Amino acid sequence: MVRAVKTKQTRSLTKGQRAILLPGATGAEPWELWLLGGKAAADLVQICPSPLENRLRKNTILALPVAQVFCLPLWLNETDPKLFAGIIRLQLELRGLQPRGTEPAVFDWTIVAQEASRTLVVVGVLPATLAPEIHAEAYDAFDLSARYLPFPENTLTIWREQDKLALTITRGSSLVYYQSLGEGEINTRVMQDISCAQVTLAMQDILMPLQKMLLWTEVTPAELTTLKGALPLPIEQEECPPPVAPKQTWKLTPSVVGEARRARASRNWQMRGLAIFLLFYLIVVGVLVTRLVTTSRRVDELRQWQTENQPALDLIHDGRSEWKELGPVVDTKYYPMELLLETYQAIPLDQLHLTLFEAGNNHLLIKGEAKNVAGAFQFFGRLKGDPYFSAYNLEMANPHPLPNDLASFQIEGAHASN
Amino acid sequence: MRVTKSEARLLWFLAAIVFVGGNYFGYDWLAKKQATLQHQFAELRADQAEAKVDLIEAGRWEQRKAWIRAHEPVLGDEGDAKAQTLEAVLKGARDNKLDIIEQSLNDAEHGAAGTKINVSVKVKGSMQALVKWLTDLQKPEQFFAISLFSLRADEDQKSMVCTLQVARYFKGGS
Repeated sequence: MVRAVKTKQTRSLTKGQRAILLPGATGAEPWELWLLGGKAAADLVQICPSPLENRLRKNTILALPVAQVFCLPLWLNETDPKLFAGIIRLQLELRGLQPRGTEPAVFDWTIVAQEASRTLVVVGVLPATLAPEIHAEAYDAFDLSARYLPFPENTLTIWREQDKLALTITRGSSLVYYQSLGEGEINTRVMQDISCAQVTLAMQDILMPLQKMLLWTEVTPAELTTLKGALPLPIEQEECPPPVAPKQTWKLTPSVVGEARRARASRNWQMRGLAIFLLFYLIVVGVLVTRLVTTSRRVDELRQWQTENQPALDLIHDGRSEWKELGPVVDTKYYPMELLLETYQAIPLDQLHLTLFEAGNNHLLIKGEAKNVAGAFQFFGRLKGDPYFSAYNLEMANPHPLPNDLASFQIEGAHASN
Repeated sequence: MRVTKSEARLLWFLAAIVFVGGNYFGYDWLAKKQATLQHQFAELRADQAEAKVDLIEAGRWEQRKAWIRAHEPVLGDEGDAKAQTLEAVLKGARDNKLDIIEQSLNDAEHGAAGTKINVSVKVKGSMQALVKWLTDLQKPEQFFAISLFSLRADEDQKSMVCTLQVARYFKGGS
């Protein structure tokens, strides 16, 4: 059988196109990359030595060879599709198809026929171990190769996958059974397998009367004679047609691949988390360092300003200290005569006379005799209220009444600058 | 060399400890440095605000310095200065018809404003004469200052007794 392969390598898919990697008929061309959908018909674009050689694998469905997927047609006493998964899982366990350990079985199914109280499904189950080349993590999805071939109704079809013969049987137009025959040529053992499968399916009421046997591979006259002798069906021989996409794909992702994907997703999340943390960390560090640099720069600017203005400030400070020391010369508040004048102005009319007035060293002492005690207090109150004496902390002990009805008093004050 | 899972975990743990420790000490250093700078900044800002107010008054202080330079007498010989100061005080007292009861020279003092020559006198007279004498004496441009002043009525109740310590400031000598 000769297949035409596109010489120009396809690098991307157009809108609506799907890429399928199907097992080839021979071991020399073990994998074929087909493009389905879109405006053009199915197109073989590449022959690959292994699934890893496919450049479009991120957007490709890897169709597993029939030899890699175990087939189990089942009548389920249930018509609600929501319950099928649980029932099928139990059936797999019953038949010993559940892998050992905690890993669940990888399977998918298609409804073949539905009656009033039961449903016929064909289940594809992945074995616990698969060929290493199948563990191609980068593939978008995993399916069964037989589901992509357009088998005629109620037909037993023999075809070839990677040099091995494969058998498929349809019920109506639906694929109901497939099996790898494990041999490269039709012999008595193969015929026994075919008969066995046919009888088993018939006993389970899975098969409808078969109309013909179809050969999608070249056979020798001897093989054809063997076939004719074993099965009472008309035999037709055709070239294997191009693949056709099923309505819905199976999800037969190997557990190793699923685990690897989960691990990668987990790693990706960890890396994302780490990246976000690092970004946040760098922002915080950046803010702290910027704040430090800004403050440092402000301090430098202030120091520079201080240095620039220091001579002028020194002159001012010198002048101020000199002026302060010359306070008794230049500030009238230090003049004793001014203090005396203010003191006299605070005396109530005809109320008292002073006997001593002392001022110096920021200290003030006033002694006198008042007409009575009230006069002394009145004088003291006036002095305290006088703004001129606001810088002095004035204090007066209780006036001392004299025998001549006068009251002697003494007022002392210290300058607040002391 | 292949690293086992537990070795890798230990390496991560070690790296985490180093990271956390480094950050702890780094942040500690950064926080202390920031606090010091912040403190310095606050102090310098306060100093600057104060200095700006001072600089606004720079003209006034320059004028005052110029006035001091123009009017403050220059100290020559300290003895001469003492004699001149005492004589100036006594002359004023005599001119105002005050009786000089006591007179003395005190030690000179040195400061930022120059040298301060101190003399002490005790005088007696009428209040009017005293006031006139002291008013003449205490004029800023003469650089006389009355550092101690005591006034009491005399026993006769007609005149006043005044004890003074008078200082005169001279440029230089410090």
